[in-house]
Amino acid sequence: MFQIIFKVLYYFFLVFSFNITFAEDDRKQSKIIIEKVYLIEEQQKFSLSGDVSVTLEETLINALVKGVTLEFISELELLSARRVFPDRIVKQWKRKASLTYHGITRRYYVKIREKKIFFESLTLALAACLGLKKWIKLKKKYVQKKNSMRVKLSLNIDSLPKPLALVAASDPAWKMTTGWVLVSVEE
Amino acid sequence: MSLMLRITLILVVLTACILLIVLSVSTAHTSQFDDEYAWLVVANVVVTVLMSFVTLMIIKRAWGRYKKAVFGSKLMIRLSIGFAVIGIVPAALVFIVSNQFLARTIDTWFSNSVDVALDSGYALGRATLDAIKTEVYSQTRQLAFDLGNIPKSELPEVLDAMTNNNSEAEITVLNEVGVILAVKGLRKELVPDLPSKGMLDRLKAIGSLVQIESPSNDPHNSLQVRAISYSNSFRSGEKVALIVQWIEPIPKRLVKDLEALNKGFNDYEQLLLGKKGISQIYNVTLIFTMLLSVLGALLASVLLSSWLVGPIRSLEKATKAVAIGDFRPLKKDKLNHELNDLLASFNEMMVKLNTAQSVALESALQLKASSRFFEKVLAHLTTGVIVFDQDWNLEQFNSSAQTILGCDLVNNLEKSIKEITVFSDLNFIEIIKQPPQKPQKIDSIREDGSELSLIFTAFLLSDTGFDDKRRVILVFDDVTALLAAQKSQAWADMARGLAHEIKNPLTPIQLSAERLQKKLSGHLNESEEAILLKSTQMIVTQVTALKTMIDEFQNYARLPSAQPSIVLLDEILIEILPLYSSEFRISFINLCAGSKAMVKVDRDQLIQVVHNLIQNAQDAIGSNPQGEIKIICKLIESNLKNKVRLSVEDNGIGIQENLLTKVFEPYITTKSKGTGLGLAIVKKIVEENKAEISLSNKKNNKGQVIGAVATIDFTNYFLKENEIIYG
Repeated sequence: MFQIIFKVLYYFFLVFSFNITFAEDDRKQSKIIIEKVYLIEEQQKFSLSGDVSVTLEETLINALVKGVTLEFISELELLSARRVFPDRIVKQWKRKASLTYHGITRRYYVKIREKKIFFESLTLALAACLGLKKWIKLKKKYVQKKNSMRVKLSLNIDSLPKPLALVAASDPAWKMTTGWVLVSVEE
Repeated sequence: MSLMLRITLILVVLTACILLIVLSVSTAHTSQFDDEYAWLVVANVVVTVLMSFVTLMIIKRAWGRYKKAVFGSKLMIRLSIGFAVIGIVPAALVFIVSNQFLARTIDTWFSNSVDVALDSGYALGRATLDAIKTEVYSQTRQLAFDLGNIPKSELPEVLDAMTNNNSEAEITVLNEVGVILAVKGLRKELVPDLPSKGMLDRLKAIGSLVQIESPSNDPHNSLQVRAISYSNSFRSGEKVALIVQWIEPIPKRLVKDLEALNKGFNDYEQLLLGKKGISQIYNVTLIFTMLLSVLGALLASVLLSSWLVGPIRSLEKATKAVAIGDFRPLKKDKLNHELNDLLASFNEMMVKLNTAQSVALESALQLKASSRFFEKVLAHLTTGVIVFDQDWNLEQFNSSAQTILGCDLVNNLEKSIKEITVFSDLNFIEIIKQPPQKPQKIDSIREDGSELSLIFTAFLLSDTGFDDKRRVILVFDDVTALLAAQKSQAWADMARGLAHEIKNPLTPIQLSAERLQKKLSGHLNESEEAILLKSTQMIVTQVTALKTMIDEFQNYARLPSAQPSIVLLDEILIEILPLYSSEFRISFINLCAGSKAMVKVDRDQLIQVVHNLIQNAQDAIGSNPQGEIKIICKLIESNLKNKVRLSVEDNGIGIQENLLTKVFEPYITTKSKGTGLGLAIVKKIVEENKAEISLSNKKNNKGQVIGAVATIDFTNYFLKENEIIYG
């Protein structure tokens, strides 16, 4: 009897794990690529700049057209190097930008903090969400030789409505992240 | 169940319930616990695993009890299985039905007609806005064209005239450098909403533009159409191009409807996109609900059955406790149910049993005391008492019976009467037929060969009240000594009579014979003289012999009473043995030399006894040139009473076996000239001095008789143990 109960439980566990892990794993993946990222000195401060290319897979575009709000997170971390242990995070900056499509007016609007900006085209809207230029200006004290900086751009699927988030968790089309990219400093 | 396990159980079950409720709420209201949903699922998995572990542990514990055949475990397992089936089957059915129902319900949310209606509404909304845009755009273009022939100073009037039918629109005419030339339909701000630089750039690029936008004064609830167009044919002669901007607000009612339509469309589409996710969420919740229900049912079934079996187990323990005399009452739980009534009845029964046992114990103690009393009475009786069962197998006896019969009756318990040497020849069937008041006599031989005379009475007990068996009680007395004393007294009386009657005429006979010889001597011829001499001498000799015999009779009959004093055995022997030093053919070995053993006897009588024994030994040795008489003193230690033993051993011919038991009787002798009174007198003297004498044959390893041993055991002795010499 115990073996039967154990088998049933094991069966449920396998089905659950399989559904979450392997479902629809063969779809194409959307991409965000940071072509180049650097800090450039302007007026006694360092501005972050760089080139970012974004490819939205059809699934995402379809979701966007159907009114799903996509939240993009831009993160910048200032790291202090250590010999033995991993680098210490000295400071973090984070920007959340949500992109929504208004189907009837055919407009995209981007909301950063409480500010809402309308765009006629998706490219401009994505640029507003993920563009590195004019995002942040750092004081000189942060830019030192012993410190390093890294940046990451990603789509936050946790912000999606729960049912969709569950679907997105098992769909590679929704997995958009640049990973951590080191920021260079240009004099 | 241990306290730790109870607390763990309660915590796990509570946590499981709380998590399940939160998960259900989270499932029902998808916007709640959005961020914590993954953690919620993980927490549920952890709790499920924990609960599985606890359940398996408890089931394993119950199974272990079942394997060990602990009382109540079988019933507990049966109840557990029953409860588990009752709990699990409905849970499984609900799960299956819910799963099916859920899948179909989710499908019903999305119908093709709703899809088409929403798409159509969506398209209609777009078309409406497009129509407004087109109209505003064409009006703007028309206005721009019409204004081309109108002088600058007349612009406001003309503008009013041309847009008289539209009071909502804000129309602005300005030139390329941003100078406002005319405005119509200003709103509350009193400042026209001028195009941005971006718009002007786009205008330059494409000549005209139209767009839907949110007004700056109410960006969330309103929409407006902005159309901008160039009018290059301005008559004023200025080379700067004229720009006409038309801002047409979209009716608020329409905006509201369009927003509602857009929201409905988005929600529906998002629902469609998340259909699989919804199904997963509900499935996850259902699976957890079912798993926790099943585990809960298993747990509950085992615990409930254990709780039900608990009082029965207590009863079983109490029964065992009662068996060993523990009558403590059982504890009841606080709930009001029949099992508590059963425990109450059991406790009442135990109180009664306790009382009954106390009474029984008291009775048993009284009975035991009574039995012990009778046992003591029986033990102190000099009369032997033996109880046989109906088949004449030995059941009970008293100590006197064992002493009288001279054998170990313990070894004969439950054995037949024939196994007891003394009774081996007894016709036990006949004796029971005799009336109980008639004593019977039996003469027999003990295991050690001594004679035994018993007077006994046999009773048949048929109704003892103890059991249904019949029993025979044999009560007997040892009359051997009594008979011997009677015999001895008879001999003494006879000897006294004989001595009196015979001795008196012997002296006249002897004197007459001597006188006859004296008177007739010399008056007869030689042959007659010889006959006379021979006859008279014979008469004198025989009379002398008769006198000697009568003296011995007198000695036996009139033995003086003993005058005991403390005598050193060694001194007696030193005094006696030199008298036999002329007997060269016999070697005397005195192993008492140097002994400090002293006995309390009549000194002269002891000397007479030792002389008699030595003379008997000499007679037994006869003409054997290697005769040997050994005299030994030693301390005999026994449980009853220690004795000093004096032995006289010889290497003579021994005593005939059939005479061994009779040698101390008068007129029993093996000598041709003996009167047969020597040993009888010796025995009488020894007994008079409170000692015991026995005579036995000495045998070699092959069982051949190599001599005789006379032994005297003194119980009145004085010695220093270290100074006695053992033979």
